[in-house]
Amino acid sequence: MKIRVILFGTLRKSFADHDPVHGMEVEIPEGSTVGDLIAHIDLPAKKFGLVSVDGQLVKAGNLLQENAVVRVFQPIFGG
Amino acid sequence: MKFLKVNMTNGTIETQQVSDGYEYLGGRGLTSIMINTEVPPDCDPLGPDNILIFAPGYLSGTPLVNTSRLSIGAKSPLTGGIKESNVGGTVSADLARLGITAVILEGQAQQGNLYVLKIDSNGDAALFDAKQFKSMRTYELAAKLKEKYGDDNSVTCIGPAGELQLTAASIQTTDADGRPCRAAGRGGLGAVMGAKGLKALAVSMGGKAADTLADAPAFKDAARAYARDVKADEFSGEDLPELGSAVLVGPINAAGAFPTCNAKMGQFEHADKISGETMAAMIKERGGKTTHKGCAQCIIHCSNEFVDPEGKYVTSSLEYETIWSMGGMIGNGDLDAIARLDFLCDDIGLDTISTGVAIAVAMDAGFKDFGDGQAAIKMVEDVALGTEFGMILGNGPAAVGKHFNHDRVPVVKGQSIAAYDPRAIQGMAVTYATSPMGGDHTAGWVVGENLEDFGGTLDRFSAEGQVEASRDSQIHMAAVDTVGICDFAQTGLATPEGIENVYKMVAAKMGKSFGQEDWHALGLRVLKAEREFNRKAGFTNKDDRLPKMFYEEPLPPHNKVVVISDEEMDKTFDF
Repeated sequence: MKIRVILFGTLRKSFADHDPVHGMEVEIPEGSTVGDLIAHIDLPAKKFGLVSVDGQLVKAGNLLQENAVVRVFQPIFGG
Repeated sequence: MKFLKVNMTNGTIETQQVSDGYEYLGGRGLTSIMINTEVPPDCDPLGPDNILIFAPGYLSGTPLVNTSRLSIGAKSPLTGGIKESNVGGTVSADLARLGITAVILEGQAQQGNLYVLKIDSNGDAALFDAKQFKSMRTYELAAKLKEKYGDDNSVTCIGPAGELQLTAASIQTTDADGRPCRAAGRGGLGAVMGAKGLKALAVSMGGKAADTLADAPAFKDAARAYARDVKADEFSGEDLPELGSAVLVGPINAAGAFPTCNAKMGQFEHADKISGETMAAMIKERGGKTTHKGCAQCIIHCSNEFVDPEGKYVTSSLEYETIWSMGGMIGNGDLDAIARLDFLCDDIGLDTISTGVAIAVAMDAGFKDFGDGQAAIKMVEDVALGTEFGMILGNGPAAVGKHFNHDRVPVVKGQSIAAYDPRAIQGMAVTYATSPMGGDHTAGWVVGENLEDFGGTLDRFSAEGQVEASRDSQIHMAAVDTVGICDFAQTGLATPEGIENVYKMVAAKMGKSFGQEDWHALGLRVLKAEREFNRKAGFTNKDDRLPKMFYEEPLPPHNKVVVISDEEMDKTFDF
C-alpha cells in the first residue's frame, strides 16, 4: 500500500526525494504498523520524537491504512 | 560581587557588598528571595515601595556557554504577585563581567522625570537626564544611546508602553548585534521600570571583574563537557540553528495542542504557512539569516533575522511563542504580518504573548475578524499612539475581556497562558495554574514528558502523574533560572552526567560542595519564597485555577477538557 510521509525539522535532509510540502510516497506491505514504516525508511530511533497520522499522534504499534498521511517530527525540547 | 542600589527618589547610587542571605544566589533565586524579604507584599507595584531588580544568573560571566540570562524581578502590576522574567542578549554577561550581582532600583523619580543609568567599564554608575528620549521607541533609543556611549554598551530599556505604565509592557534589551529585540516580556515589568522613571540602562561591555572561580580548572573541565553535550544534541545542535524555536509549530499543532483563534481549537488550518520549516525557507530565499547568534556566549544560534521580500530587515528573532500568539491564536496565517507584529511589540516595548492573546480576546469578542493580520497591526500601533483602545490592549487580555464583557480570557493570575493548550497537555494545566508567576510555560515545561518517546511517557489527557511532573519541573526550573542557563541549552543537562556537570560548576564557583540535594533545595527555596510572597499579597488556593473555558469547553480535535481536580492542583506545592 502507498503511504505519504512528511518529515519535519532537519529529518528531511537525509531524503533527497522529499518534497518540502508533499513529502514523499512510500510503498509498504498491507497490515504494516507505524513502527514498520519507520524501520522501512530507516530512520534512527534517536532522530524522531513524535509521529502523527491524519492529525492524531500515534505509537509504533498503530496499524496504517492505504493513503495515510504520516508526519514525523524530531524530538522536541523547550520552554 | 556587589549590589548597585539606585534610589530613584533622590538619585543616589550606593555600592554594597552582597549581604547576608543572598550569598551564592543569582538570577531568579536572588530576585525572588530579595522581593520576598524586602518588598511590602501589599505595596502598589507602580509605587515607590516596589523594587526592580536586574540580576545576572549565578553562572553568567563565567566561561560556561549560553549563560547570558538576566533575571528581572519585582512585584508585578499584571498579576499582583511576585514576578521574575528572564531575557538573553548580552547585558547579563556584561553586568557579571563587571562583578555586579544585581542592580536594584528603589523609590520613584518625580513624575515627568526620566533617566538613563550608565554603568561604565569600572562598574561605576551614574544617572543622566533622559527627558529628550521621552516616548521614544526602542530601536531609535538603542541607536541613540549607542551613539552617545559607544557600540560597546548593551542597552536595556522600555518603549512607550513602559512609560505609559501599561501592564503588558516589556523590558527590551539589545542582542549581539545591538538591536533591542530581546524581551523580558512577562508580568508587565516594563511598567515598573516606567513608574520608577528609568528609560534605559546602558552597560559597558568587556569588563574584567567577574567573580573569581574558586576552582577554575574544575569549572573549565565541566564547562567544556557541557558545551560538547549541547553541540552533540540533535535539537540544540541541528534543529534550533536551522529552524529556531519555530520548529515547535509542527509537532505542537500535530498534537492538537496549538491554541487557535483564542483557544477555540487545538489545530490551526494554516499551520504549515507559519511553521519553522516554511519560515526558514522564506528567510533563505529572501536573503535573511536563519542561523544567528542573538546572545553572548551562545553556541546554539537559534535566533534569526526575518527580512521582507526585498531582503530588508523586519525583525529578529521570530520565535515560536510569538508565531503562535500573533499567528494561530489570532487565526493569522501570514508570516509577514506576524514578523511586523513582532517588530512593533519590540519597538513599542510590549510582551508579544500578552499582546497577541489580548488581540485574540478582542477578536473573539467580535471587535475584528480572526485572521485579519492588518487589523492586528493597527491595534498594536494604537498602543503607541495612546488611543483609548490602545490603552486597554496594552494592559493585556484580562483588561480587553473586561472592556468587552467577554469571559473567554485565557489567563491565570491575570497573565496569559502560552502556546501549549492545557486541555491537550494536562501537565501544562498544572504549571499554568500553580506557578507563582501566573500563566507561564517556562516555569514548568512538561510538554516533552507528555508528547515525546513516540507517544509520551505520561497520558497527556489523564491527570495521572501530571502534578508530580509539573512539581518536579517547577522546582528544577527555579534552580535553572537561578544559575541562568538558557532554556535551550538545557539539552546539556538532560542526562545524569550533564546535570552532574552543572553541580560541578556551581561547586567550583562557590568553593564548597554542591550536589543533587543542594540543587533540589535551591529550587524549593526559591519557589517557597515566591509562594510566601504571593500568600502575603493575598493569593489563595482559588488563584491556582484555570479559567472555566478550559474545564468546560472541549478542545477540538481531541475534544478534551482539563481533568486535574482542585484537590490535585493543591497538592502541587505540598512540600
